[in-house]
Amino acid sequence: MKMNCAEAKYLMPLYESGELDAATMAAFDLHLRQCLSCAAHLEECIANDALLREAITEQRIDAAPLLRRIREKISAPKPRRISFLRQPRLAGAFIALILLLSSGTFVYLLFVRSAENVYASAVEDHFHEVVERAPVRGWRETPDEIEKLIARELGDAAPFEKLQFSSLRLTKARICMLSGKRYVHLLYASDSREVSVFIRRKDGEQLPGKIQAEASGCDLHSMSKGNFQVAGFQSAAFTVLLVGELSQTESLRLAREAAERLA
Amino acid sequence: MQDYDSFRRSEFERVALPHVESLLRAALNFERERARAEDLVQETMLRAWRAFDQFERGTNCKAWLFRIMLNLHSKRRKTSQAKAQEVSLESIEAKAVVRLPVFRSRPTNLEVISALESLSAEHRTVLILAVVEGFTCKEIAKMCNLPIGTVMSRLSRARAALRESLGYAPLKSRMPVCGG
Repeated sequence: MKMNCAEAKYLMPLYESGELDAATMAAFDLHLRQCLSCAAHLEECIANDALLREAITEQRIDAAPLLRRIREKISAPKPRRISFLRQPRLAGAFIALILLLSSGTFVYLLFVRSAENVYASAVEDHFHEVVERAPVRGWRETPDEIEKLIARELGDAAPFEKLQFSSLRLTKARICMLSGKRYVHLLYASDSREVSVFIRRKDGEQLPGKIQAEASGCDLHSMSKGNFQVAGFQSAAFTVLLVGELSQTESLRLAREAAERLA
Repeated sequence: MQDYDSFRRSEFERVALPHVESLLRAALNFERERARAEDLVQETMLRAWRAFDQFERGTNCKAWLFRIMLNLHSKRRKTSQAKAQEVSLESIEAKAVVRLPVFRSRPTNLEVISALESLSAEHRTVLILAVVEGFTCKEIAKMCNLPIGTVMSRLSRARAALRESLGYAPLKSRMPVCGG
């Protein structure tokens, strides 16, 4: 396995913490022997780490008073149990209240938080793979390969033809996982910006959040995270998320365009 | 029952309390004020004590305690006013970056600490966890609820920022690149 500078730089933290597998470690070592720049970079990182470790660990911090306080707290007797729980009626009402609250929490976690996590996960994925250009594998870059990938993953090649935007061109695609579910990650670009579109066949999931607009019978949702805007919708067959450094209006415009084409 | 309580307490003393100093050292870098740092560690240990039955014996107790502390610290930052001024996306660098003069010799410990303090909260956190406490990227990712790739890139940027704060020129300008 041959490694280039970008890959070596990306893997350097894992190399320093000893987390690389044997084959990658060997490729990394080989690259270091051949590349003065990366070898010097690593050497300097190790030297700076040692400086930092020494500077921090040599600071005198007296934890004894804190330890004493913690010991006192954990040795204190437990508070008495709530006596009303010994009365059957009150205990029953209390248990019913707890059940009601926990079922509400369960529904919230199941339907709202999990989907919110999908939005956050989509932003993370876009940031990591598109903005930071992490050297991940599996990108398909020719139209033929992208079309085959879409057909295989979604059971239908139609989205390849339909998901075309007036201002952006499709550049590459790969499979990714968002909150434990497989999506096809399509990357669209113009001269000035890049937009990720994540698409999967609908599988009972619901998109949360306020409905911002409607297009071709699809509710358009949106959420912002940092500089990024996520817009999402569900057509009859697909769940689609769009992520980019866009205004809310622009992201909803693209989502509307996609929804109309997929409908 | 009394026997079980005694056993539980002695186990906690044996397994968890030895990490108080490490936690305090890290907390001093997160909070910067001694009183707030001690309060953070004390709350962490009390939470750990209450949840000690859920701790899986034989697993990494230090990582478990740091995870509790980072969650707690994150919640506190979200609710405090300081968060509004200090936080944010990892791309935002610390506001008051102290540029030290270019070093011709090894920087002193004080200069290294100053350089560390000039970094953003996210960068300080990953450096403390990885370099000082020796956690792996995988462990840090679990503690901070982040993808491992984010931890790796954040760590690389933190190291670069520290190097720059220490007064070293960026590597790119000094080293020929092999073109690979």
